[in-house]
Amino acid sequence: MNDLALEFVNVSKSFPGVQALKDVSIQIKKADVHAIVGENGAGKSTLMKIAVGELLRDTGIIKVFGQEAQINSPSDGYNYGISLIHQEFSLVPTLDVAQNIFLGRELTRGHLSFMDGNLMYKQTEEILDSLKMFHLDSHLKIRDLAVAQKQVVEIAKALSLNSKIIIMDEPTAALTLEETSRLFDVVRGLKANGVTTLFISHRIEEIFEIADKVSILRDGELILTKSVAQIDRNQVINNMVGRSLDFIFPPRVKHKKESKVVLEVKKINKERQFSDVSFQLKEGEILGLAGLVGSGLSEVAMAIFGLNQLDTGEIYIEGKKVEINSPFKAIEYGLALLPEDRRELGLVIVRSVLENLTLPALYRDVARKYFIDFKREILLAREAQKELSIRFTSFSQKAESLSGGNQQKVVVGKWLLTRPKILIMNEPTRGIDVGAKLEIYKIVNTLAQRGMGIIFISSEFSEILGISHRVLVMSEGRITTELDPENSTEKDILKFAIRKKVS
Amino acid sequence: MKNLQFKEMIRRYGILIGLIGLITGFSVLSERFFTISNMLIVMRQTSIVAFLAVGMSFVILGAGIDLSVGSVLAFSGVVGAGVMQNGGIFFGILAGLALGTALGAFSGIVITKLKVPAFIATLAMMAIARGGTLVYTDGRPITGLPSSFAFLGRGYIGNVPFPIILMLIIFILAYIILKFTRFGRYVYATGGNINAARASGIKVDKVIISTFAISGFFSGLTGMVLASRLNSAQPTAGMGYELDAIAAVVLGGTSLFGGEGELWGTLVGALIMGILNNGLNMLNVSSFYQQVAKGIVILIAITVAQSGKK
Repeated sequence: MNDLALEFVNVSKSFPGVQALKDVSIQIKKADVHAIVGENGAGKSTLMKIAVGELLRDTGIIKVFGQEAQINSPSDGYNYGISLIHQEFSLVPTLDVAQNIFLGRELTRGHLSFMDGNLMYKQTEEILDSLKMFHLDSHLKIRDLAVAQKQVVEIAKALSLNSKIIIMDEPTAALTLEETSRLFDVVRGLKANGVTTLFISHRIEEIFEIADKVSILRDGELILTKSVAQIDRNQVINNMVGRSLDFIFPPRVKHKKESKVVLEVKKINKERQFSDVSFQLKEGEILGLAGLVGSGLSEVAMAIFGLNQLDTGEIYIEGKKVEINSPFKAIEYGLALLPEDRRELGLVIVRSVLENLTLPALYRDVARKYFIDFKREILLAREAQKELSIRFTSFSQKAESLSGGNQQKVVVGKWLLTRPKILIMNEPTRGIDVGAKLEIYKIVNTLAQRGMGIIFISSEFSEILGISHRVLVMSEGRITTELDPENSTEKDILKFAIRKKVS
Repeated sequence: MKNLQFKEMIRRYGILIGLIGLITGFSVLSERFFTISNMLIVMRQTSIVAFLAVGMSFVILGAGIDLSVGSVLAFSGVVGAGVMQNGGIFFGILAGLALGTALGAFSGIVITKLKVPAFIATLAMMAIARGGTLVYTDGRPITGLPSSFAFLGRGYIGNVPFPIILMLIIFILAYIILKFTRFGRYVYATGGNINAARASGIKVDKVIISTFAISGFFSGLTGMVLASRLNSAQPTAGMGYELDAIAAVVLGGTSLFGGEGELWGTLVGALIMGILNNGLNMLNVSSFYQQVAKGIVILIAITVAQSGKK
C-alpha cells in the first residue's frame, strides 16, 4: 500500500564551489499537483534534473512508485515514466507536431521498416484529442506555434511516452494569463487521468490556484512541504527568502546625495521587452536593479549599452543627450557593460587573458594609430591584474582555462582599462563561488568610492540589499518601486518583483 | 601534465614535423628532389596557392570562408590584362588589384549587411566572377601583353624567381598585420567571438568586410602573377584553387571556426601542398592518384590536429 509516485530521500548534489542540494527529502503523492518553489539558485532545477537523470546526484535515493529507481543517465527518467519539460523546449522547429512527438522512435511497418506516417499522425491526434488541446493540428510546424502551444506539444510528447510523472520547469514564464489558465486546464485533466505533476514556479498565486502541495527550497535545502490549504502567501514568501544572509557584505560605502547625475534614462521603451523605464544614476552611486528572470532588466542594460536599439526614449550622459547605437559609441561616452553571459558576450574564450584584458582599450589607449604598443599593453594588463588580484599563470593563457571568478575579473578588468564613468554590471556574481563573490563586492565598493556610477543588476536580492545605495525593482518590463536597502527586506523586493495577477 | 604539453606540441608543430617528414621521404625516393633548383621550382609553384592562402587566412581567422578566390583571380587577371593592352603595365596591374579588392569587399558587405552566410555569398561570387570573366573575354585568352610584364611571374632576382621573393614579402607583411596591429587583433577577436568583440566596441562589420577585401586583393594579385607567368590571361585560370587555398590554411592549423591560427602554419600548409605535387610528379605518379594522395594527406593532418586538441 503505497500511494507515492515519486520520493526523494536525502538527495545531495554539489558543483565546484557550490552545494546545490543538501539532504533533500520530498514525498510526492500519486495524481497530485506538487509545486516546488524557491528563489533563483535555490536548487529547484537541479533537483528536477536529478529526477530524470540529466544530472547525477552525489548521494541519496530516488523512489518511483515505491521502488528504488536507478536513475543515472538522461534516458533513465523516461524508462521510469518521468518526463521533464524544460523552459527551453527541446523541439525541432522545422518538423511538425507529430514528427516531433515521435522523434527518434518513429513508428514503422513492414519488413523494410518504412515509417508509418498515418499511424503516427493518428496517434498524435488521439493524444491531442484526449487532452482537449487548443487549436493544435498534428501537421503544424513547431516554428509556427505560439509558446503555449509548444508547451502542449511537450506535454503530448510526455504522454505519448506513457509518462506517469510530468515535471514542468516554469511552464508559465512566457505565457499570457489566458494561456496560463488553459495550461492549468490541461494539468487538471492530467490529474484526473492519474498523472502526477511537479510544477516549478516563481509565481506564488499560481501555486494556490493549481497545486495540492508545495515544497519550498532555499539554498539547496528543503525548508518545508505542506498542503496549500495549510499555508498562505506570506508564509511561502517568508520561507523562500529566509532570514539569514549567507555571508557578510563589506561595509556599505558612503554616498553623497548631492553628487552630480552621470546617467539619466528617460522613458525608454522597447516593444515586448520593457516600457517607460526612467531613472537617474549619480557619481559614486551603486544603484541596484532587482528583478526575477524575464523582468526585462538585461534588455534595459543591453539597450543602454547600444547592443539593442530603443523604440523611444532618451538617454542623457552628464546632462547631455546622447544617441547610443553601438557599443563603440557607448564606450566613447564612458559606459561599460559587464554582461550577464560572460562566455557569450564578455570574453573571447579562445584568445589569451592579455588580449581579452586590453581588447576595448586597444582603440584608444594601447595602440598608437595602427600598431599595438606592447609595452603599454603589458603595463595596463599588470595594472588590472594587481588591482583586481586576478589569478592566472601567464598572460598568454587562454581565457577559457580560468575559473569562473577569474574570468569575471578579467571582464571587469578589461572595462576598468577604458576608464569608464558608468559601469553596468549584469548578474556579476552568477556562477562564481562565495569567495569570489565577496571579492567582486569589494571591487564594486572601491570603484564607487572613486566616483564611478555603478548599476548593479541581480536576481539575488540579498546581494542587491547588501551592496546598493538605492534599489529599483522591475517586473514585466516596468519599474514597480524604489526601495531604500537599509530599511527593506528581500521579502519587500520579492513582493514587487513577482508578477501581479491583474488583467 | 607532461602528456598535455606533448599534445600541445603535436598540435602546434605537428604540421612542421609532417613537412619535414614529407621532404625526407621524397629525398630518399628521388635523388633529383632535394636539390636547390628543384626546391626553387617547388616554391615558385607554391607561391600561387600561397598568395591566395594568405588572404584566406584573414577570412578564416575572422570565422568566414571565401569560395570565390579562384574566380576572382581569373576575372581580375583578364580585366587587368585587358587594361594593360592599352593602358600600360602600371594601370593594368592597378586595375587587376582594384577589381579583386572590390569584389572581395562586395562579398563582405553582402555577408555583414545582408546577413548572407559567407559560404553562400562567396559561392554566388564564385559564379558571378567566373561568368564575368567569360563575358569579358568571350571565352578566349587575352594575349599580347607587354614584354616587361613577364618579370612579375617569370623574373629572377639573382638566382631566385621573383614570385618566391614576393611570397616571402607578403608573408612577412601579413604576419606583421596580424601580430602587431590593432586590426590583426580585431580579426582574431571577431573570429573568436563576434558578439563579445562587438560588445567590446569593435566595429565587427568593418573587420569582416576588410578580411574579404584582403582576400580579394590577393586574388587579384594572384591573377596578375599567373597572367605574367603564362604570358596571357586565361578565362579558365584558377579553377578549383579556392580548395587548395582553404586546404593550405586548414593544414596550417587554423580553426575553421575562426579566432585561432598562425600565419606560419599557412605557409607550411601551402608548402606541403606544393611539395606533394612536385614529389609525386617526380615519382611519376599519375595525376589521378595525386589527387587521392592530396585528399588523404589532408585527412591525416586534420585528424592528428584534432587528436592533439583533446
